[in-house]
Amino acid sequence: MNAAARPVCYLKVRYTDRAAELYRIEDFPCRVGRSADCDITLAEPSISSLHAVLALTPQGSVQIEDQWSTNGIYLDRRRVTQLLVDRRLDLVFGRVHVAVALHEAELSRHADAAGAAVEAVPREPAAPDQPQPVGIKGPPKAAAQPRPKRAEREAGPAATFSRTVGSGRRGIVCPHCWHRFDVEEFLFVARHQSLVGDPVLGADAPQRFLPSRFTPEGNAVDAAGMSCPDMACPRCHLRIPQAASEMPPLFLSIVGATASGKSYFLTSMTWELRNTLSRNFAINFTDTDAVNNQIVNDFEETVFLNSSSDELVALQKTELQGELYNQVLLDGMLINLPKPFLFTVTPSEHHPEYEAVRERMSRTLVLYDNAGEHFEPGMDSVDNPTTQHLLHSDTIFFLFDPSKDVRFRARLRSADPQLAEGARVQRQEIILTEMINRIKKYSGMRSGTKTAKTLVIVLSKFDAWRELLDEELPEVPWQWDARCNTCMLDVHLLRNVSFQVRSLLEDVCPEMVPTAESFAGEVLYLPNSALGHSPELNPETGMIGIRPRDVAPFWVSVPMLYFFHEKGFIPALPASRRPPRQTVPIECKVSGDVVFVRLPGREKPLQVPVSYMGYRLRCPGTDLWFDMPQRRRPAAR
Amino acid sequence: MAFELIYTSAERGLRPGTRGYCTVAYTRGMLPQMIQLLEGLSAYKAIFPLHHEREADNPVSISHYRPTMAGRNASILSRVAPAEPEHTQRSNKIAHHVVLRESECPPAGPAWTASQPGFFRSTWDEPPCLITEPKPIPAGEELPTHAAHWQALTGDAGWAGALAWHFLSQNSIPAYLLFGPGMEVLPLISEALALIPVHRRWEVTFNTYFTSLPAGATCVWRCCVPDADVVREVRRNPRALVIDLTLPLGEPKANALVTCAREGSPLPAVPSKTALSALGRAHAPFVALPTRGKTRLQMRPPAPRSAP
Repeated sequence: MNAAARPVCYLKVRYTDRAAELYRIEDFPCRVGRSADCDITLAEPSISSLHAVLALTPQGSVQIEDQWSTNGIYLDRRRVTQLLVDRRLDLVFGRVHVAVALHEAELSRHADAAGAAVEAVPREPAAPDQPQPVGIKGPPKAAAQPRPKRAEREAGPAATFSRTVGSGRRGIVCPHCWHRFDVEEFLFVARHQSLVGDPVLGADAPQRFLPSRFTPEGNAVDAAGMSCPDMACPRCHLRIPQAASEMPPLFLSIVGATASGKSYFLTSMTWELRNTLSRNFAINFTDTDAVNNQIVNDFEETVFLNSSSDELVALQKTELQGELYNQVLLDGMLINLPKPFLFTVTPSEHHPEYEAVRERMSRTLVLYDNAGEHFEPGMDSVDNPTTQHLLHSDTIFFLFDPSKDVRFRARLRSADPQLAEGARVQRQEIILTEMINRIKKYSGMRSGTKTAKTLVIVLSKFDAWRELLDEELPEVPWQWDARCNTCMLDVHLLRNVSFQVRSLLEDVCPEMVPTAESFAGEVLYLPNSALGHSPELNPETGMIGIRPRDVAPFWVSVPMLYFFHEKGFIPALPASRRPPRQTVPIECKVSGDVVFVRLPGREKPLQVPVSYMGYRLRCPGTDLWFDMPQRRRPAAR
Repeated sequence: MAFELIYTSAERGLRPGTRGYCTVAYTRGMLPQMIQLLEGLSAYKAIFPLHHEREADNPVSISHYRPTMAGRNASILSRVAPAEPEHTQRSNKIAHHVVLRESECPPAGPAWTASQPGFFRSTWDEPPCLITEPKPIPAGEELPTHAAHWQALTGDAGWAGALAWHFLSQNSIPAYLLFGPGMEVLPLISEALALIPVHRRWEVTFNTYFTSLPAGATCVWRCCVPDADVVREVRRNPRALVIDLTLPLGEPKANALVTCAREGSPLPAVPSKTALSALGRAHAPFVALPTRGKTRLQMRPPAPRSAP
């Protein structure tokens, strides 16, 4: 290609708090993201480390492609994954406005005049009634962007809204080994019985191959001529269900010390979500692949669908080898990879905004059941990368078990065998610190910076320590909304409960709170009980167990519902629907990430993280309610 | 000196900072790669859940694998089984692995060695430690060829010969023994191994409770419960031998080893692999065609016939 014909593209980044930046792009592909490794670095928390790529199509046109970014790319309030740059495009990456065009002049005329033309796209996690952290309001988009001609509409961006196989994007993330690869790199799993033996998976596994022949249905044809629908990761050779390859993944990590109840939490949570999401929130939550989810389905059957409801049952202690892992030979090393549990999350057809949200809400939720030992210091090694999903997680649930903390135990009087004299205790902030260190080490986070991930500290076994929380909790934190015909999550309630639990933690084991809040800007503290009942000790075996008839989970799905709310899948209950409270006037002073709140009659101010701004909170230990002021825009600061 | 490693759930492991499932003892001088390999072989899958009335019938996994470590063949004898509840009152297991060099392997074979009293530990209630004492390996040479356990279980001792014959004739193709919980499988393996020539006994890899094949390993005799996931894989390989001990078995196909197992007579002279194949073919319904001497590329079109 001669120099005259070389495509050129211009990209203008408009921040809210600093001058715009203009880039001329001549070399493709051009990577855009938060990471310093990218060709264009956008240092903004809402930008993913690799957010988008500007690439050339085989025809020589420029197109912009989302790289499975967390906050996405928006055009005209629609999330897009791939877009042809054939005119000026005013896009929103997370909270950053980006204009892309083929000619520099297009970026300086009309719409860019003051940037008023760009209407802020609501931040995906934001609730409908919450103030937007970045709220540039402008005239309607239609006025800023002329309607394309008919011919342009047919051949233009509309045609490329959906993901297309063969686009060359490095968009698939393997849920087994977290390798990112192109769609074209997918291997297929041979089906003929003679094609057995794989160098990565072992002598018994069917062979994997890169196909050159396909059936009319799109299945690969193996060397023996059989049609092969199953696909596998090109690195670890493990099977990836087709649905997981079609819907962007949402990774979620569950972290905690040994015996903190992670498996019970996972089991109860998935069971509750199956029952709650469709009925209350018009969201379908189903197994992506029954084979992958067999273990968690067995867990659910043991606890919730047991025919002998009076008999003691228990889940096996999570092992570090065996059926929860896939053993692969990579680079001559025997590596254990945790088996992911894959769930498909899609809006039900009766969802009030089904057409608008169908694509955005269709995701594959990826969960893992790690053993607590995996999070112990020193257990992270090349051959045992079982916790590396932490890097890819949008949200982390850290299970804090009060029954394992000696200071909580000193305050509790219960017949729970886990609180018996001599039962094991553990310092759980060490596990949290180890988790933080691993994420920082592998993601290259600088010390002093905070992650954009949401950290939810889940205080488990609430039935055992309920008496310590000075707050009455309703059975469910959501309410029916007749207008939407779905339920709305009471985020204000959750925030206040989180504030009360945080205060309790500060009081009993204060080291947990600063450890968590120095890592993540958004930390939520939620109580729950996976079983809702204390286990019993079986005198014959010396092991603890639970009778299925006693199982009554409490708030076990709430952390996940909050996660879905943050993703924009579940609306928040408007403040106007909350019960009225008499509030007291307060004086606030913001200092860094803390608000000093001075309440009448109290000498010492409360220290409230800025993430609680805009919510109504209760001063712990009193009946004084106060309204936190709205958070100011970063530009104002 | 044989290497040992013990893996279970304990309040404190041998390596600093470890607890829960971890290595609690290993022989001083063991290579990290070997430790990793043995820990990887410590998986266990219970058939009966906790608190189940038949929990005690969960099978014990006794296995023999032959990995190549540091360029040498080694034999790993392992026992993995449920154990007493651990310190958090939850389920537990104990895995004891013994790594033998070729020179240390008793001629009686791996199953006989593994079945010797005290060879494996089934409990661990000691502080973590490095093992410095060499492990005594029992000596054993000749074994009776009569398969008494097979006779008692199946009504025909000849099945031991069928299993041994399958290994000698098609040693890369796995054989499956389907057993019911509560059955003793190791004596069956031991009797079948007694029918294999001494110098080949340690080539036989087996697992008395097979659930999955470790990456990079082979396992030629796999004992599974009939409804196990892996049994589905048997259908992929029609040449695999399946002996279902939970169903009435007929008579095995006759061969010299079947006769030995029934009569307890001395082992016949070691037949060569070719001879075994030929013997096997004698009973086959189809006869394989001789290998062609020429490939298609070497073929030439026939010369044109000369005119009469």
